[in-house]
Order: sequence, then C-alpha cells, then structure tokens
Amino acid sequence: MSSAAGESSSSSKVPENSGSAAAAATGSEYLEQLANEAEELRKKLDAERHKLNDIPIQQAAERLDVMGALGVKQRRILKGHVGKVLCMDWSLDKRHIVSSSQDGKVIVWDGFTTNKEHALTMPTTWVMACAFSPSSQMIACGGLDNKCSVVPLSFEDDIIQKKRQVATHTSYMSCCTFLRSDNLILTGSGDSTCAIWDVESGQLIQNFHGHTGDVFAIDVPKCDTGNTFISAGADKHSLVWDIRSGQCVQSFEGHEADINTVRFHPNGDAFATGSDDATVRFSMLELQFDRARLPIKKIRIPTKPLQFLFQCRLFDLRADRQVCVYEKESILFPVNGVDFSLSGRILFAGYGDYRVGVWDSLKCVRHSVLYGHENRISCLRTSPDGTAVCSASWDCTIRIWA
Amino acid sequence: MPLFKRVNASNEERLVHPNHMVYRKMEMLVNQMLDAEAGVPIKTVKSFLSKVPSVFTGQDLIGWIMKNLDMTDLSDALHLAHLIASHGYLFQIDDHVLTVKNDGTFYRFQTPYFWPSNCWDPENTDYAVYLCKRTMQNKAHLELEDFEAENLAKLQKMFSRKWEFVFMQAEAQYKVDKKRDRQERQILDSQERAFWDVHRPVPGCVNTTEVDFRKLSRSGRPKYSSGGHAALAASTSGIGCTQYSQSVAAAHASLPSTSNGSATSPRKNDQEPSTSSAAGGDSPSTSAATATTSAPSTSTPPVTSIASTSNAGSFRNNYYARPGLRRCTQVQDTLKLEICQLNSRLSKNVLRTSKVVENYLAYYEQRRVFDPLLTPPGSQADPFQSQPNPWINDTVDFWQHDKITGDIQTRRLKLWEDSFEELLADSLGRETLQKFLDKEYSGENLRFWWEVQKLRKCSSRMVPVMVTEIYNEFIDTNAATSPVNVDCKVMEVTEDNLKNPNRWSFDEAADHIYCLMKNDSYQRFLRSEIYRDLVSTSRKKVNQKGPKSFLTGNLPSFSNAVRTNLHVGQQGSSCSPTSNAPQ
Repeated sequence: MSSAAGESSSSSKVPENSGSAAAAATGSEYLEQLANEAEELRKKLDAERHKLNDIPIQQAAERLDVMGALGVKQRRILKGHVGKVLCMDWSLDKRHIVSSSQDGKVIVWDGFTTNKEHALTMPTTWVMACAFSPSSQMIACGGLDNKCSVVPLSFEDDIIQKKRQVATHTSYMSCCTFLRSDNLILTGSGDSTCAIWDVESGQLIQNFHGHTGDVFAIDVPKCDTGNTFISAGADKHSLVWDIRSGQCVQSFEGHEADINTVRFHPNGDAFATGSDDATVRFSMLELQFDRARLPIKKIRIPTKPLQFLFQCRLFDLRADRQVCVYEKESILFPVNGVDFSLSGRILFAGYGDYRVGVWDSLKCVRHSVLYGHENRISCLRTSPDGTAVCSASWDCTIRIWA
Repeated sequence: MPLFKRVNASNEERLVHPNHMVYRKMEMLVNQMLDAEAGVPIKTVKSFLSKVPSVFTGQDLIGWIMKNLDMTDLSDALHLAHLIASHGYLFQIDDHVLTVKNDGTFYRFQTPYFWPSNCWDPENTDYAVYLCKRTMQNKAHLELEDFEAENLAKLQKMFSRKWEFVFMQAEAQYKVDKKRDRQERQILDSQERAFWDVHRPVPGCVNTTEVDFRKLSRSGRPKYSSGGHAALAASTSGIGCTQYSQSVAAAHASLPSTSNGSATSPRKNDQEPSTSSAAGGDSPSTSAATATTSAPSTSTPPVTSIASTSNAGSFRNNYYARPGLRRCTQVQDTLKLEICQLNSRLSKNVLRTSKVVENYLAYYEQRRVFDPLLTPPGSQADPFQSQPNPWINDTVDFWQHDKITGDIQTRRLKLWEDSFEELLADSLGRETLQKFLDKEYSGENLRFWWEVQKLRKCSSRMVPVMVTEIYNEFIDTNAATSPVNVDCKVMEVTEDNLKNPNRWSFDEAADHIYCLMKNDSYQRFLRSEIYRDLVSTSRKKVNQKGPKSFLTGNLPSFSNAVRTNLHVGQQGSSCSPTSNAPQ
C-alpha cells in the first residue's frame, strides 16, 4: 500500500523537475506502446481464432440423430438440511453423497436409501464447499471460516472430534476437491487464489496466483495422467493451470459476468462453464437505440423481442477458444451448476430459476427441462458412473434424477 | 481505449445488488409488458358495485409471454410468469402468495418505485410502520393475515421502546393516504402489500431477495492475490462500500481506499492553484472513501502542462492486468509478459472447429453405449444386457454384478478395449494387464508407471522415500533391480529432475513408458488369450441370461484366478482414485 502512495506522490512532484518529467513521459509512452502492442496482438489472435471457426458446431453435428426422450425423472429426494444447500459431491462408490449447507451442517447421505449416515456441524455458517475423498473414507469442507477441514468418516466414534484443518486462505473458501488421492486437496478461494495442500501435514504444496477476482469454481480432469486443472470466477475468465509449475498455461474469456461453475468434458479436452451474464447491458443499449431511431412514439416490437444470452459455454483446450454457447432467450437466471453425461452428449445445467436444463451439447438445443426444486439450484453433479444426476438447492433439498 | 472502459465497467458493477443481473433482465421484460400498445392489455374491471382498476388476467399474461418470447411450452411460460411474480414485478390483487395462474384471476403490475432493484433491504422499522398502519385502516380486505399479526406482535416486542414513534409514523402515513383518491389508494395499498410480500414473504414462500454470499463480496473486487501491485489494486478496487455489504466490503475496501486517499492528497495540493475545478472535484476524496475512485479514474488531464505525467499516472492506475498473468512489480514487465504469451498463443497450432466437433462426435459415438442416460442399461438398445439402472429400478445389481457373479461385466471389458486410459483407471483392469505383462516379461513397465502415479499423489512426507525407491528399483542404470527401458533423452531429463527430486521427477519417464505400453503391449493384450477368455466367459453369461447361475467348474483356469483377484480388486478399488468404470 505504501508503494502506491509513494508512486503517486512522486509522480505529483514531477512537474517541478523537468528532467524526470521527460523520463516519466517516455516511460509512459513506452507503456502505452506496450499496451497498444498487446492490444494489437489480441486483435490479431481473435481474428486468427475466428478464422478457425469454419463451421458452427450445430452444422458439424447435423448428421447426429436427435436425442429421443430420455425419461429422466426425479428418483430420490434427500431431506434433512434446514438451511440452503450450497454444495454436494458424489462418492466414487456411486451412491454416497456429501452435502453442506448455509446453516453450517455437513451431511453424508446414502443417496440410494436416502439415509443420513453422518452429520456434523461446522463452527461457521455458509459452508460453501464440500468434497468426498476418492477412497470415500474422508470428506473435506469449508466456507466462510476461510479454512478447509478434513474429517475422516467412521462409525466408531464422534467424527467431529477428528476434524482437522488442512488449508487456510485469507478469504472464504468457495470450492475444494481432492486431487486424485486422499493425500492432496485443491482449494479455490475468495482471495482469488487456488492452492494445493498436503492433507497429512496441512502444508501448502503449490499455490496459483493469477485470477483478479474471487475464484468460484475449480475442476480436475477425470483422466489420471494430466497435470492441469481449471479454475474460474468473478473475473470472467477460466484459467488452465499447470500443477507442477503453478503457472497459468491457458486462459479463456467470453463470459460477461461471474463464472459460477466449471466442469470438464469427459474427454478431458474441453470444459463447460456456467455464469451470470452481463450481456443484458448491451442488449439494453440496442433496445434504446431502436426506440430513438423511430420517429413516432410507437415502439417497434422486434421479431425477436428480447435477446438474452444464456450462460453456458463450451471451451476447448486444444482449440484454445470457445466452441459453443448454449443460449436461449427467456432464460433469465444464472447457471450455478453444469455437468456432462458420461458420453458428453448431454449437458445438464442447474439454474437460479429452480430448474435443471437438459441440453444436447452437440446440437446446441435445449432438449428438456426438469422441474422439481422450489428455490435456486446451487450445485449439480453427474454421478461417477453416469447413472444419475444430483442437484442441490436453496430449498433445503437434494434431488437425484435418473 | 478499451483498457479504460474495462475499468469503468468493473466500477459500475461493484455498485450493484448481487441479484442485479436477474433484476435487469426482468425489468427489461416487464417494461415491454407495460408498453401501452404492444404490452399486456391492462383494463379496469367492473365487479358488482365497485371497480377494479388497472388489472390484467393471468391468461393475458401467459398469452403475451408465449407470443413474445417464442415459447411453445405452457409450463415454461407459467414458470417464467411465476418467477416474475415471485420477484414482485406483478402480483395477484387479493392474495399474499406471489404466483401466477393461467386463468381469469386478476393481476396488477408493481410500480417501479417498489421494484426490488430500487429498494435493497427494507428495515424492520418500516415493516412495523406498515403493519401498524394496516391496523388503522378499518377495512375488511386490509385486515392482517395471521402471519402478519404474528410478525406485528414480534416487532412490537422488539421495538417496545420506540413503538410510540412507529405508531406516530404510521398515523401520519395513514392521514396522507386518506387524502388520496379512492382508486389510487386501492392501487397503492395493493402495491405496498405486494412489496412486503416480496421482502417479508408468507411462511413457506421463497424469499427471492436473498443473495448469494459469494456475490455479496463482489463489492470488494477486483482483488489482487499478490501484494506487489498495490498501485493497480488501489485504482481498481476501493470504491466505497455499497450500503448493502458494508461489513463485507469494509475489509477489502479499507486498505486500498485509505492508501488512495493519502496518495491523491499531495498531488491535489500541487494542482490546486491551476485547476480549481478538478481539485474541487477531487477534494472530498480525502475524507470520503466513496469518492476516492473518482480521483484516478476521472483524472482526465486537468491542465495541459502536466497532462503527460498525469496521463502516465492514470494509465498506470487504470491499467487492468488480465487474469492469468503472473504479476510483476512493474507494469511494463506484466505487459511484456502478456505480449510474450500472446505471441506464443499465436504461434501455436490449434484445431479447427470442425475438427474439434469431430472429436466430440467420435467420443460420443464410442461412449454412447456406456452412457446410462442415453442407453439405459438392460434395455433393448443396451448391447451388454447389463442390470437395470439402480436409481430407476431400486436394485443395486448394476453395481454389484461383478461381486455377485465373480465375472467381469461385458461393458467393463468393452471399455478396456475402447480405451487404454480406462483399462489403467480400473484397478482390476490394471491387475489383468499386469498378469499379461508378467507373462511377457515386461511387467516392470506397468509397475513403474503405477509407482510413479502413486508418487504423484502421495503425501509430502512420503515423497523422498518413494523417489528413492523408484530410482533404485527402476531407473538406476547400474543397480536397478528391474530397470525400465527408457531412451537416453528421457533418461537425461529424469536425471536432471532428480537433482531436485519432487513428486513429478519421473513424469517424463512415466509418460514415455505409458506410450510404449499403449502402442505396443496394449494391442497385444487385447489380442491375448487372457483378455479373450474373459470376454468369452462374460459373453456366455450374457447369452445364458443367467448372472444368477453361479460359476461352475468348467471355467478356464484363468478365470478362477481372476475371480480371486476380483474380490481383491473390489476392496482395492477404494484406493484407486480413478476407478470410474462401472463395476
């Protein structure tokens, strides 16, 4: 902070000293020059990437048959939380689920029988993240306490006593996931960093600086061999990180508002993001323009009256750009959870308008809508074997669809 | 300048309600509905002796939505209407529950003054005044509902000391209301009621004004993870706390704003004589946190003589570091880095969209039969005739198949054939492959690869131990017990890595071995007797349709071996984090 004060005050003294003024001027020119160069390159890159968009994805997927009725219905409902459910995660045993809620409760469910198996109360409210360990012997959770705690699951004694703090951030922890084993945990935080921690010692193994806003979501590809993960958040960018070096290796932009969720395509080469979207600002401007242009008071209702951009996008790592936007007018609400079916064809999106949208990810059309929740959906995940989809909502319930 | 625009945009954003995106979209829609000609037809309806002013029916509304938003699905339109109602933009004229039905019920639009975007979080005292006022209006339709009476009692207890004040305010409001025209009052009463139905909903109804905690803290962003760029942070964050999130924003805003304040003050003093107007604009910035951002962002050159320097300052302050860049202490370094990255991105070969889509299509075609949502297990379309989806049929056979029968599901075997990754990800697949490789006298490859995978995800304490073990067993050129066959280039890299051993030291070597196995051993594995035996056994079972018919003695001897392994595999699968193949 003091450096900021120093810098500004020194620049304010500059007018008295003409020599340093000239230096500052050339310095600023140099900066401008660099900035312009970067801008030019960016434009060039955009143009290059644009050239590669030879055909839209819909056209390429034309030969596909239309997806028939899926028969996806609500199969289970897990009731027991008394606050908004904020996060959930599947166990790799394909039937257990951990969920965390706004009132500080973390519950481990047997989703199949809908029984609660463990419940613990965290010291703070808004437990925004929870995760099952790959061995299903452990859960991790955290949120407003800025910490990630690990709790081993056992039926013998009170599990809360075995709770250990593993990670500490300087702001709330928004997401966490085990990194392929019970030994490493990856967290994302409102302090705009991500970090990998050693579960046993609580030691920081690698941290990831580069986001300029809160990190809201992270995801690790299913494939075991890679060394990357993605994160996204309030700065509207999705960043791809190299775990080993801690460097950002790719960045993707396109969204115009906070990205709430990010999920890898099962092939590991692409990912989908869901967000709030500010595109509405531009459409509003257009609308006013329309009105101004018309001499009479009468307002022309355009054939497509409202152009709302829907907020799911598909990015491809190897194409280094956005491949598809899943948009539909009349969807006004943010996307809080996205996930693919096992083959990548179906994209499920959990909305703030209480519904789950089922999209054909290749034909880019909304296939159907799942009704059931009575408040915003906060999280959505496909089960590890793809037999079901689970959604958590602010209506205090978790629902399993299949 | 795009850079500048970006900063301003983010400033704008920080001032708004966390739900603003939804509100804005809804308001656009509602504005269209309110349009005199093309909107929803609003009329005054006569009923008995009185008139119901400015209402429309649910049918009209739904019809409008379906027509104007190109909707074909009635439930979709109803849902949208319900959401608009639950956010308080329109309401049923005589019901506290904010919903919309597709019938002749009357609805009314909320006045923009009461839109949720305008009044963020009304206070309890206001609610108390409102309820108190309702008790004064001696009218049947204004009588308090049970939940409202309860709320009033609670509030009365809460504000017992200043209840007199509340009462007086209510009385004053009541008097003003009384002077209004009858119809106007009728409308206003209902609109006020609807406002409180949004902010203090009927028990059991969703409170749509609730906000996501994560979005609340947006008022403090953009934030910078490293302290190095205080100058940048100061310019971009630091606009005041919205009234909404003072507590949250305070922590973020306090640091930059104070530093910014102190930074601008000396400069302002220098400029003061020459630029009275600019200084006048700046002067409050030292005291009020909310005004600080006006200093750097609106520092359009005040006087020509210092224009260049102030430009430099403003450029520096306004420079928006893009996400994903490592931040350096000097802006120019960051810029150079960005240029470097952009160049490397430009030089990279990337795929065309058609090619990318081709990949997705291929993946889909290959995995379609494994996707339980697209090819329901056990249905006609399922080539494996697996057990049905457990969530639909309430049986766990689908998950338990291998454990019950001692056989490996055909779908699991097919998955192994389709992808080497899946074979390795499945603990049982790995074991089977290991057996095959041991027979071929190249088992050390897989063992090495697997040990490296374990090393990559082991706990920090174990790293040095495991590195040594792997080195001694597989790498050490002179003394390794079962050396793996890596070429000299990879060996060099590995030796280099080992100067500073960590969990990723053997990655290159493991990748090399992985490719060897994938291109060579894997193909032979698929043609091997071991794998074919498994497939034929499994097929037989499918044809017999008898997973219940337990293993008989006439199975090939290997299958027995697998069976014993199977149970180990099932237990062991818990330690293999990526065993995602259906079991």
